[in-house]
Amino acid sequence: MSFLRLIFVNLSRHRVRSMIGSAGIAFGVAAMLTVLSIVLGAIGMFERILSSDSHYLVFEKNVSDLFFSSVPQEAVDSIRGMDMVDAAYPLLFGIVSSEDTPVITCFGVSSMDPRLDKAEWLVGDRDSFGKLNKTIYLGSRAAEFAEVELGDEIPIGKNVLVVGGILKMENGFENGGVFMPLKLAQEFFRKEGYSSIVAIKLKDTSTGSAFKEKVEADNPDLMALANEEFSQSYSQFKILSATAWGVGVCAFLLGGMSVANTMLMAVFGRIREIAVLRVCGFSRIQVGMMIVGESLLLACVGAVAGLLIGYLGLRVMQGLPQLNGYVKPVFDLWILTGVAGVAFLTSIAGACYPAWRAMKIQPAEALRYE
Amino acid sequence: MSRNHIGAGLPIITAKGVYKSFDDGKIEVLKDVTLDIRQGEIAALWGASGSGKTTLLYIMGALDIPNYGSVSVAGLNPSSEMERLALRRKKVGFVFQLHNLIPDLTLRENCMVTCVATGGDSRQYRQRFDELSKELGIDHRRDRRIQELSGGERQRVALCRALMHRPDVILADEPTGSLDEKSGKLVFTLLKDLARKEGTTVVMATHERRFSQACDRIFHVRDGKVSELGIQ
Repeated sequence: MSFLRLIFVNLSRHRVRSMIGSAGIAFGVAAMLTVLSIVLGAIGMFERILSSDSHYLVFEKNVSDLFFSSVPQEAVDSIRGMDMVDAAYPLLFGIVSSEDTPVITCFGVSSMDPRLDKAEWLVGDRDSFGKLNKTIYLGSRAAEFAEVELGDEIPIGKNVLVVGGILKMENGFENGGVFMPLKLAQEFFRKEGYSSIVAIKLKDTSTGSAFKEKVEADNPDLMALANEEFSQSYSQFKILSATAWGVGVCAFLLGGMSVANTMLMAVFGRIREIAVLRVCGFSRIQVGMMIVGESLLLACVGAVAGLLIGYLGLRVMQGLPQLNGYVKPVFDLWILTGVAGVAFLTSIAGACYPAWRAMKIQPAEALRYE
Repeated sequence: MSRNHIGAGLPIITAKGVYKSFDDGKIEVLKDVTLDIRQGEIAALWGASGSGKTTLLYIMGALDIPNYGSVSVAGLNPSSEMERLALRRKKVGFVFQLHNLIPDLTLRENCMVTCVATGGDSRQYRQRFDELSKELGIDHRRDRRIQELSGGERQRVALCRALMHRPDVILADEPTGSLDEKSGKLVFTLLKDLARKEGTTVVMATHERRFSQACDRIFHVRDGKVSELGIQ
């Protein structure tokens, strides 16, 4: 007979009640894991779009979203001409719509952009990119949605453009997007002579600081950030990440309330029994630890079940054709530790009040009146 | 598990001027109770329901605190929660009218609860359980759950649990009250015999005259006042 056995027996006596308590934690864990995994996966995908084969990103200072950033062509040319720069790839972001798809991300890229080389060209000719008039190139998912093939005409906004190729990219966002030659994109979005960002590949990464200083000195309206710095400081990523954690924590709060309710019912249903334990020599602290221990055991079972549910849910979402490529689950140690930590804290918090009530039980009163 | 033997014949429980009331003094339960119970005695607190027997027993076992007066048990006069806990852990064992066992634990596990509470040597406690369960005739059912036992067996388990930590004093609150005549007699005999064998003092609250008359001393409890009826 041990303290743990006592905890286990107490929970197993009311299996349905215990399962409901664990289910609260399980759904909290599953929700947090799913939301975090999807959002952080999406952020990762977007980071890879920005930093394809590059070390630094140059964009307009003080813009809330890269879609609003404007980097003039002269600046691109000047940066490209710097000794320490190996290559500079301007990229213009925009949102376009077609008949059945109201929102399609558009990537205006130069013909030298490395992502075109990395892509698997399902149909169309890589070398034709940027050489044909009014011709666009679709990611494979975008082509599926629009049900178009090579040479088909597709209405984009007020224009009708020709499909010059279909590309399969590694990235879900890119697969669902439209690639336009930079010049065509600039005309389409009425941003002639501008791009949203410039991805910079340096000859020697140790010259990064010098590069940043020079770019910002020569172009006071622009800023240059290393890819990692950008990921950490970009407000949209921060907002998304904070939102994901916030939603997850809210889910956990509901789980915590479920644990608190379960444990409170367990305490009120066992007042006499707790009194007898006190009579047998249990201290108030031991009684409190027993209730917290029961709560932790519920949380452990719930966390394992929740991780399993979350993992299976994400796998199912990955398999859905509608979400294909958009969901890229991230199961890193940071997320798993965070989820386990929040489960632990939630169960402790949920057990505090019931444990306090249990500790306050007066054996004589409980035995006399219960 | 060592036993603090106090010389036979010396008082092991001393109550002096104990007064207890509830509801801000509106309900007076014990009024100026003074008594001595000596080491090894089997004493009955005899009286009708509501006379104050249980309250006196709870005060002796440090489950309740008197408004005035003092109670000393086995040399301890607890004034703090820690001292009261120490008294319950080392000096006294309780038996209640309702067995108050944990239903989903086995017979043995219920008795080992005291070991969990005190953090004692589980090997020694197991050995102690083996001895007691044999003497009480419940050793063949040691791995049965409480729901599977009869009322008399349950009360014997409660007795076993109370004796596990070798207390100086057993405080029994109507231990035969919920049993039929035969089982009640058996439990009372076992309690008495074990107490005699181990030199344990027993204070038993009862309303049954026949059991009180089988005790060494009878304290009549009536309207919160206690008077001794005489040594047998």
